[in-house]
Amino acid sequence: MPPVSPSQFAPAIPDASRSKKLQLLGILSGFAAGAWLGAAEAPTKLVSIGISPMVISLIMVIGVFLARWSLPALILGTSSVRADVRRAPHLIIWALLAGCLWAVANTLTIFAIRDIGLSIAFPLWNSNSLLGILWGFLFFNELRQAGWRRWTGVLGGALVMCAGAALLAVASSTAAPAAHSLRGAWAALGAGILWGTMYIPYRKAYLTGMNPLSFVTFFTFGELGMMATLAITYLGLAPLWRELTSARDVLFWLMLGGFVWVIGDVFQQYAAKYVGISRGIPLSIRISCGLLWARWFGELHGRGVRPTRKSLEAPS
Amino acid sequence: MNATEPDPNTRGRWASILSDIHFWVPLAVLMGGLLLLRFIR
Repeated sequence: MPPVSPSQFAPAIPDASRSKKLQLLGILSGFAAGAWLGAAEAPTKLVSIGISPMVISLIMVIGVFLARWSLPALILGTSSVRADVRRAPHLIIWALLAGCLWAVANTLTIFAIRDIGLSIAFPLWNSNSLLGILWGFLFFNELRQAGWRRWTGVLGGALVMCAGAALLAVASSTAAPAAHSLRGAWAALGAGILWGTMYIPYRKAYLTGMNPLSFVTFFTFGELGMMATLAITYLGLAPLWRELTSARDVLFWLMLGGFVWVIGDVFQQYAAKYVGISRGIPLSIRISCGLLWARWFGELHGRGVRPTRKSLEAPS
Repeated sequence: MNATEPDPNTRGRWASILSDIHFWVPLAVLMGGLLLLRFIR
């Protein structure tokens, strides 16, 4: 029997440089997530041309489903997903729950965009980062050992975002469609709460050892199942089919939005994994992207330009 | 162990999920979101 050295019994020394690298990777992932997730929201503005929010959300979710089954498969293959399922089948419930939360939140954002416009809705639903900080602190002991500098950074950043959101809402209130503005604000806030809470299952799954790409893969089932149920319940099968066929001109853009969202979400999940939800989620805030899109659609100039089917079909 | 008996590990895992506040808080928020969607639709 080979001699056993004392070092074999010593606790593993944490590799500080590796930990730092992973933290940096988490921070960069957070920023990348903000850019991609913000870009993915732009096609939801198509609600202005009269497509049902349920149909828009369903098509986006189908795009997400297709992307998630192709992207994780391209990066890792499917063997790691199968291994994760065999090792810990109960973890799938967290992914399904997160997917259901996402689908309802996404549908609410489309109602919000229709009623109050992107420029106000975007900052409102990005309040999810504040909730992320709260849940991270309450449920996962995040920031408990943090010094005053980190607390100042996290809370200061969050407050600056809220102040910016409030200013933005005041500044662009004249550009927002007047009817149903309260309903739109509730929808945006509701989406923020759902998305902020969605990070609980995210974090829970990673703490128990699930691979982010496996999580993403099962997330899609929750998302598609919830969205299909909502669309069929609220619209009925035949009217849903009619709406889908009448929206065929914009199917590509909506599905592309779903595809882009997947890339952003993979970055976001690595941010949640490596720097936690209280710091990773505020990093992936996408107010700036929302403002860019609102500007693109003319909301901030009070013009409220609406995309038309013709303009969408024209080559850019 | 009889093949038809439920695996105690599996049962334990599900019991731990169902007694976990991390499961019930998102579920309650999801129900709230569905109600809000019904209300604003």
